Amino acid sequence: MTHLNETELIEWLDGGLGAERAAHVDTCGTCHAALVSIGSTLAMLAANHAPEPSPLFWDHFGRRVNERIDRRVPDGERHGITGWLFGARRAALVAAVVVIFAAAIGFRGGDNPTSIQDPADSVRLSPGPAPVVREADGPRSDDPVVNDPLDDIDADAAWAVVRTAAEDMGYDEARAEGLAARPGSTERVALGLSGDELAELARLIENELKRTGA
Amino acid sequence: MQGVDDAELVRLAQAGRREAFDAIVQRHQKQVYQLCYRFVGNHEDASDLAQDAFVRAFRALPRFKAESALGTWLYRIAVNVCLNRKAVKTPHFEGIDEVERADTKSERADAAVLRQERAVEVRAAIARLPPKQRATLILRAYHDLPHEQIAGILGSSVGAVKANFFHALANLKKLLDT
Repeated sequence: MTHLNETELIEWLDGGLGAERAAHVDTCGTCHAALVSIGSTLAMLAANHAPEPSPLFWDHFGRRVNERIDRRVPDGERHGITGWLFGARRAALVAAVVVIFAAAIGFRGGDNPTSIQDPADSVRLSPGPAPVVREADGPRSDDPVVNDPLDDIDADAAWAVVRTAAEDMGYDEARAEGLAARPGSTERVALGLSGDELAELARLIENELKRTGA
Repeated sequence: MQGVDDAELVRLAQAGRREAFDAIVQRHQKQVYQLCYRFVGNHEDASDLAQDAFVRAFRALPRFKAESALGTWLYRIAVNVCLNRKAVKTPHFEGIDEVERADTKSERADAAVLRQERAVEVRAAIARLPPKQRATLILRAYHDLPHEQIAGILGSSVGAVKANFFHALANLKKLLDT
């Protein structure tokens, strides 16, 4: 009769091996020795107790779990393939935001995308005349911003998906992914805006400052 | 929540009852912590891994279909967390001075030291096993889970679990004999 294979040896230890194969052990020194060896290793493992933390540890364990649930897990705590996927997904998301934003800026820049104006000539921080709507932007209405692409974009379903996903991302996470603005990049972008774009940017900043009370 | 079974706790937690999830944590925290401790061999990393496992469980709870027992599902998450964590790949084991000296009152001091030294050696040897053998050994030898449940946790066949267990024991013996 053949020796017990590895699966049968484990089944013998569990008492789950059939009677015929189990009887083989009584007459086979090799299989018997293998079982003694496995049994001694198991006995050694059984004697190796893990230390029990103090009762105080368990009192605080649930609270610590809840604290970690309530705050976003920093990137440094993400590991392995899931961490990589999460980072890649977020990078793709931000890339999509950048592309859409660039497309919107490019669309608005339209007539003279390469013109550079002195921001001091164009930015109006105090309430002034409403931004001029060019013919290319569509027909005029009583409210000059009704047809503004940057306002319409709030109703855009695709943009809503990006915006919803981006709301889940904090500044620190974006920075950790290497997506933070480089020194001077804001100035470079501002210098590339047209007068109308700068006026709109000023209006948005002013509204945001009023809204937050800053 | 003490008299509520796991299935009901899951249903309540999925409905947004945070105290139900707290009860799940309280009920399973020791098993999950012990599993993590067996992987990393020190309290600090084990505590961090166990917390991470429950955080992931909380986030995955809406997708839990109760096709397996809650305990099995939590073990699966904990094993994945452990196997993916760098600390598990390069574990720092507590020395005998750091290990809680339980059950030492009734044994002689030199015997206690020898026992604790052996425990450190065993944990170090377990850490050198291949990941699936290590997980199988821990779940079978220390958590006494049946092979079928381990197969569910590791996504393996029952036969593969038995074979892994055998090889884990054989390799462990070799490592400890050298």
